[in-house]
Amino acid sequence: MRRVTCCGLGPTPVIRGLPQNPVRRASVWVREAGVGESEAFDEFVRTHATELLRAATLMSGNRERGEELLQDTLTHLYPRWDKVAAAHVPIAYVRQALMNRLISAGRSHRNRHVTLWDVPERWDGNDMSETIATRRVIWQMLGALPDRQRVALVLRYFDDLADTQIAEVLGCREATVRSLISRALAALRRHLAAASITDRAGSE
Amino acid sequence: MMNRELDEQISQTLSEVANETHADPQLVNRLIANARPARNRVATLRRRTTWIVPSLAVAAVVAVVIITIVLTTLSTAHHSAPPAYPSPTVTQIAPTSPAPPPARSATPTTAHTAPASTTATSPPTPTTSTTPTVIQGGQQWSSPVVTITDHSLGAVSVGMTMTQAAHAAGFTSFTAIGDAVSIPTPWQGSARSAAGYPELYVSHWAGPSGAAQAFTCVGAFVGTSTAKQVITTPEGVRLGDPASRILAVYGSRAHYVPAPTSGGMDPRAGYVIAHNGYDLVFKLDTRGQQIVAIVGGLSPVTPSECVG
Repeated sequence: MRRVTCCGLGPTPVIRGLPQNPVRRASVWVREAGVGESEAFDEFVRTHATELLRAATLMSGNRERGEELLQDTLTHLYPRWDKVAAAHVPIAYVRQALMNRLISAGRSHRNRHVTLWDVPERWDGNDMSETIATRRVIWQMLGALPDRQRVALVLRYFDDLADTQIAEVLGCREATVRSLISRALAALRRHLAAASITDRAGSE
Repeated sequence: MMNRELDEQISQTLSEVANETHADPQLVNRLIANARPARNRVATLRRRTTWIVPSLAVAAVVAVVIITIVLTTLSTAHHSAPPAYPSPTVTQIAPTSPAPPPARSATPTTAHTAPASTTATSPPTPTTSTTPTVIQGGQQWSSPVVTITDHSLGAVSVGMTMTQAAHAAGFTSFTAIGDAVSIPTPWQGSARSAAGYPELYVSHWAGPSGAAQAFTCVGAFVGTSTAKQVITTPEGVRLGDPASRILAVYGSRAHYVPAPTSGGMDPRAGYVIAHNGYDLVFKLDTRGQQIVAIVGGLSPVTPSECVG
């Protein structure tokens, strides 16, 4: 488990594929902020677009919504980019903003519900294909979870954060984190079981 | 599915989704482009808001400075005729109730003593206007307010010829009315004086007379009314004011000159303010309490001289 705490924004999620030295990356961005807000923003987006899009996609549950979330967040942050650039780890700041915006927006929107008919068509019983299909189902089921539950799962299973850190990121208690993850896993099991039954019934 | 297996599946699923997610250049450009306009709008508003208060402050300071400069320039111009005069201590004169005009007496009087603090029992003033004294009068003698200095009356200055003076006063010509005194030609007769206007004149007092000769003094003698025309010095002492105002405005610069004990056309007591070879003379009534004439001319001029 990689656990890093920094910059007053709660624990910094470890982003896969990035150098695991957020302080070093932060110093780079603090220096680059002096170039000018606009240029710094452009360079930041070009450098971290993929990482941010991954985070947004995982948090939101699908690519389209992730792009929308990322665009919305960047548009929101652009006017105050000097503040972002001055953060100890700007990308952690943006990730936190992504999550806050997702959860804030999710509260005002009715959560989407995925029925069993949403299960991917590729479920042919083949071992390799079964694995792929299972993951597709899991991914689709993740998208059907409430935002806070899904984010909690992403923080635990993708960012490898402990419950304490997840609680700090989400701004809730550890018990709440455990409850969120427990309910999310239970929902996934139910959906997976139902999908398996449906698939077997269909294949027979 | 076992818990551990499910955990592994979730972790793998998230990793695969992440690995399959890439931001292509088009998306990056779109993200930047779509964020920028909103940022520009806010930034523009913020920039504008940021500069509003400082701009207003700078504009206010500039306006105050300009107004101060203009007022200072105007004030200097108004007082340029008697450059060394002290600033008036009183710039406004409260309107006073009209009183019967003093009789112009040719009777020689005995020597006067300096008038004590005048009780100013409703001294006559040339106007009943409630407006403050206008220091800078008109240039023409027909103006409602005409300024008199130690060397000029309106636009007429000591040293002009009669023709120059007539044009400066706004008339075609001056007419001599005796005793080296000349007045605007249209003012001959008794109509103007009967209407109560003060008598404005130039004089060749103590100098050679003649239309081509430069006159030596200008003067204003109070008329029978106090409401027709204001004659005032730049410092605000007006024809018809109480004598105490002279001391209040000019202080020690005003030298009291008693009336001669005998002789003279119009022996009077008064005050003289001498400056740069010119005298500004305030002639007082026989009681020594009211200004009945103001004269400016080449020094020396006494209150009994440059008689209108």
